[in-house]
Amino acid sequence: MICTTSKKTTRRTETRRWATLALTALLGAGIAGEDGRAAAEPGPREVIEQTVEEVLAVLRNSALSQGDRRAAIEAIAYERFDFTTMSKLVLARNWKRFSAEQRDEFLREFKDYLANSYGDRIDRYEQEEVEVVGQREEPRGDVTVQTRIVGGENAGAIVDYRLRGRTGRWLVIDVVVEGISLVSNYRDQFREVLNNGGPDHLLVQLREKNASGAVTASNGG
Amino acid sequence: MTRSRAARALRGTTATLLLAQALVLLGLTFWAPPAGADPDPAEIHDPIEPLNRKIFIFNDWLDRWILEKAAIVWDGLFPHSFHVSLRNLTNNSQGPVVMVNDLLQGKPIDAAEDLGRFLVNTTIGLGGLLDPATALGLEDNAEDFGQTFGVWGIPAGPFLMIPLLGPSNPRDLVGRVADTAWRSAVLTFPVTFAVSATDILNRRTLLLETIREERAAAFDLYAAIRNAYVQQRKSQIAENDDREQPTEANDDLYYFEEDDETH
Repeated sequence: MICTTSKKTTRRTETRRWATLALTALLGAGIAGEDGRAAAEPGPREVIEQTVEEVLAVLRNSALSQGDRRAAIEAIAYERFDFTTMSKLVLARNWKRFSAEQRDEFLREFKDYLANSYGDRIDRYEQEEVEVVGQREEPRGDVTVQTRIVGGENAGAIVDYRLRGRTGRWLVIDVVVEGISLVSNYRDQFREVLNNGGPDHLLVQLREKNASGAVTASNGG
Repeated sequence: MTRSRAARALRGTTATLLLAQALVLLGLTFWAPPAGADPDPAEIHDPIEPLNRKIFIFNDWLDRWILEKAAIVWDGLFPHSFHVSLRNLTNNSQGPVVMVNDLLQGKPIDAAEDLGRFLVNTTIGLGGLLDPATALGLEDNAEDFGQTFGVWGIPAGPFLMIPLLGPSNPRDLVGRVADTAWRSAVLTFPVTFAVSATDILNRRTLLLETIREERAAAFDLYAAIRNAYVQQRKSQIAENDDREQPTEANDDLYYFEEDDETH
């Protein structure tokens, strides 16, 4: 916001610009860099439109093997999802029960887990299209972009993406499929696991699921 | 004996519904508080969780040993397109019930849309086997009595796991009885029962892979299903509110005390 003003510099805002620069210097160059990018970065709707286009291009590319396809989609997801924020939201008040190492491990394992469990499902969305139908401002700066599946077995299904733009880039922090938020669903499940055994217990379960490839193996049919 | 009691209960519900409908026609529903007024949005009200979990274990067992096995057979008997067509057919047969609920919820435009859907799919869609209406932009509003009660401001009540039927709550349970009553009034109860049984088997077949995956992926399947059910019902009821409005109720989900660390 600061930079948007300084970009459209006129004589009238010259003094404000100096004040901005002073403030920027005080807050550190990092923030200015991030903020400066925000002005040029695509908005939430564009982020989703781009992501959808990229994912559909990968899915339609019949030259790719199933593994290559999965890897390509994972790469796109890693670009557009904020797994750190997702992890915090999923653990909520339990986040502070995790030590620094436990947090790092959770982040890594949860990311792998999501990649495993949703990677499999991706192969079923081949003939479908996705259209962005609108966006909605949420409290405290988040934006929800609404998409709808066109064609195929799940025609008409609504998939919402909630994005947060605090770091200068709009990143996805939740996916809501037909009203069911992924963050909320895992929060409820993890709460139960944590109530029964604490952070280590949850990490063991995550590791087991990822290692056994239970999710992938089950998809034998 | 049980049957006559059930029949009486159904008749009773129909009477209640007729009364409710009369109230709508008289324009007396304006007093209804807004939808989604459940007390705590974050934690699910589940006071009888220990019992619910026991029933869930029973349902899960029953599914693994009977329904899933039957679904695998059903899956092998007919091609996928048959299963999809059959689902379309039962969806289409719900058309009149959906329309009634559109009207009960004070949504005449949706009722018109669902009427259009029903007419298009019943004719061009060969009685509902195909779903050309969705392609034409007439989407299924999929309303039911449970949602109608929610729109009227009746609270959901505690979460319930019902033997054989799965996740529910008192409001949706009454709604379900009302749905069944309405259909039974048209088709008679045995026919409704047979149709429902086939429909359940067929829908379970379409979910074979999804449920297998979800079973493997879940950390606590009961908590996962409870959460999904409660979230989905809430969103279905809130649907008629302006979709452009921010979801205030979810504030607790996306921000918590530790959040300021992110800066």
